[in-house]
Amino acid sequence: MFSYLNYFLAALFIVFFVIVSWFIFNIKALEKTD
Amino acid sequence: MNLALFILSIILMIFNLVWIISFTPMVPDQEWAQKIFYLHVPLAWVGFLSYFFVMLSGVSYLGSRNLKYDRIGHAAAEIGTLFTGLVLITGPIWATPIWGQPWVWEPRLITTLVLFLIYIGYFILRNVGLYRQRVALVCAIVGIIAFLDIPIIFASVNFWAAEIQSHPQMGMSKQPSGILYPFLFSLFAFTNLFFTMLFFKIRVLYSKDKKDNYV
Repeated sequence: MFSYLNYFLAALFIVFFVIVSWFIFNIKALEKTD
Repeated sequence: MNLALFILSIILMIFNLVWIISFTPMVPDQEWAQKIFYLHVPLAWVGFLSYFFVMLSGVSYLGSRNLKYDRIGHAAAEIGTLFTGLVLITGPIWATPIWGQPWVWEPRLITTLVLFLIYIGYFILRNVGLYRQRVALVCAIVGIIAFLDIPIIFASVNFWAAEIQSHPQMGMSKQPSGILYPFLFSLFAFTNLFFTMLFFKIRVLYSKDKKDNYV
C-alpha cells in the first residue's frame, strides 16, 4: 500500500521547498528596494 | 503582490494536494511513484508557458525598446528556469524506482536538459556587466532563439526512432477519468501559481529598476 511513498514525498518536499524559498527570497529583495 | 491571487494560489494548491494524495487511484506497479506525475507534468507545462512569455516579451522588446517588456521576459525566464529545474529533479526521482536508474540519455530528457542549460546561459548573460539596454536587447534575442527548443522537445517523442525512446508515449486522452480530472486540476493550480509568481516578480524587478533610475 505504501510502496514508493518515500519517492513521492521527496518530490513533493523538493517542489514546495523550492517554491516557498523563491517567495521568501523575492519578498526580501522587494523589502530592500521598495 | 496581488494578495487575492496569492491567497487563491494557496487554496488551489492545498485542494490540489489533498486530491492527489487522498483521492487519486493507485496505479498497479507504480503506486505512489505514479503520483509524482501530477507534479512533474504541470511543472513542465508551466516551464514551457514561461518560455513562451519570454519569447513574446522578447519580440515586444525588439519592437518597442521598452524596458517593461524586458522585466516581463526576465521574470518569466526566472520562473521557467526554476520550474524546468524542478522537472529535471522530479523526473529522476520517479525514474529511479520505475526505470531502475535516474537518468537515461533519450531525446526528451536531453532536449529538456539543453533548454535548462540555454537558460542558465541566459542568466549568465544578464550578469556579465553590460549596460541595462544592451542586456535587454541581447536577452530578448536569446529568449526568442531559445524558444525554438520547445517544439523540438514536444516533437522529440516522434522525431527520433522509437527504439531509443523510454519516455511514456501514452496520450493523455486515453487516461481514465480518475487520473485525468485531478491531472487537469493540477495543471490549472500550477498555472495559477505561475501567474501569481510572474506578477510578483515583475513587481520586484520594477522596484529594482526604479531604485536604479531606469524607470
